[in-house]
Amino acid sequence: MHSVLHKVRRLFERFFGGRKTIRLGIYGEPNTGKTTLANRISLDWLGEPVGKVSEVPHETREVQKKEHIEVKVGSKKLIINLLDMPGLATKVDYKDLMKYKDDDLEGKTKEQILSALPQEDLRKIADYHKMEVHSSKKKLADAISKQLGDAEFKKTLLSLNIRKRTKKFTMSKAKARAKEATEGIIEAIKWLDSVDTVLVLMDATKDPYTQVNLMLIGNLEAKKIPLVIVANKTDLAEASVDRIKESFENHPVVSISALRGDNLDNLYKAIAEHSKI
Amino acid sequence: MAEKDKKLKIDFLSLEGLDGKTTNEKAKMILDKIANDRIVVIDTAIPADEELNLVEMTLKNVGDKFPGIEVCVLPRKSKHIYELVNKVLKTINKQVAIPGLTLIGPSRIIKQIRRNPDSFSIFAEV
Repeated sequence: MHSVLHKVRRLFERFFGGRKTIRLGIYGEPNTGKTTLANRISLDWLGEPVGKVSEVPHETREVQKKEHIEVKVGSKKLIINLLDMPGLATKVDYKDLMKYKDDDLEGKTKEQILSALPQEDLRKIADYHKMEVHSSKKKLADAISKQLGDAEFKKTLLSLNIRKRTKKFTMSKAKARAKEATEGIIEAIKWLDSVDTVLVLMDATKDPYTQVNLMLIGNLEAKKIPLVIVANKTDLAEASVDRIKESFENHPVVSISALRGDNLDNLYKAIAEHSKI
Repeated sequence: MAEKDKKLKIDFLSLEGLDGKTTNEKAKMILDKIANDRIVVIDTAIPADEELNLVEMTLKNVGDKFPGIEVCVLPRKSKHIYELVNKVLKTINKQVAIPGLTLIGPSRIIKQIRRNPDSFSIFAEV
């Protein structure tokens, strides 16, 4: 029902114009930098992150949303409802996840996290909130604990990408994570019926001609959903944007580094242009 | 897997074998074969929406012993003409097959697929 209403709205806007808001889905394979880009867009315009970034595949296991992000593109204003999708895959093997280290801070209280973090990370948090930086670790932790509420503290960890990994995933945790990941991918597939524009994120250091990318683009073409291919990780020496352009020559390709925030203005222009704002 | 079962099993399906089946019925038939450690090759390039439906059904079945599938669809260069024809035929509930090849297999056997627009190679381990 929801997607039917959405299609009617899209049709109405196509005929009568006046679209003000777009629902922008960030899709792609795992570890292409979707959440890094979503965080960059949200931090730049709203001052808060969307979700946790990680080198562990399937870190994003449910659709993460940020609504009403006002982005200026030249003289125009673009209002984006951002949807950061779990990475698309045709398989999720819990044994693969067991090769990675787990985040020791997950599920811990503020006080437990503060005592587990090294002084260097506590200094980063204090600097971020322009607090006095004490030389003693205990004083620093106490000051942070006093000044920041639980929600603000967790938001800071996300913004600064502070984490601690020491032990590998246990089998039961890896299985639970794999189950959540498969549910997340199914949810992302269902959202394809309700997005206005899609950013197809690709890791420019890897071969882009994969079946998942072809399947995603094939479905967007069939559903007539405007798409922009985003060649990410151009800050890395081995990145090749040309390889992506050659593989998908019928679609617009914008090269960026979500990590450094390079070339985002061109990405916003491409989103506005291809969403027909 | 027992030593005697260490054989690569490939089922070649002709298009006629899938005729008259709904998208879900086709996906179920393919997944049943894959659950028995078979690789399936079909003499057509399955459309993107059917492939997505197959992936969705696969993910619903992922568990400890079944991590998922690997897929490779290799359409002929003329696929866009067939897709246009299918858009017209869809109005009368008909479709023509897109010439090409599809390979689907269990990911615990197919370890890697390397592909380019004209060919692909699979690396399997039994």
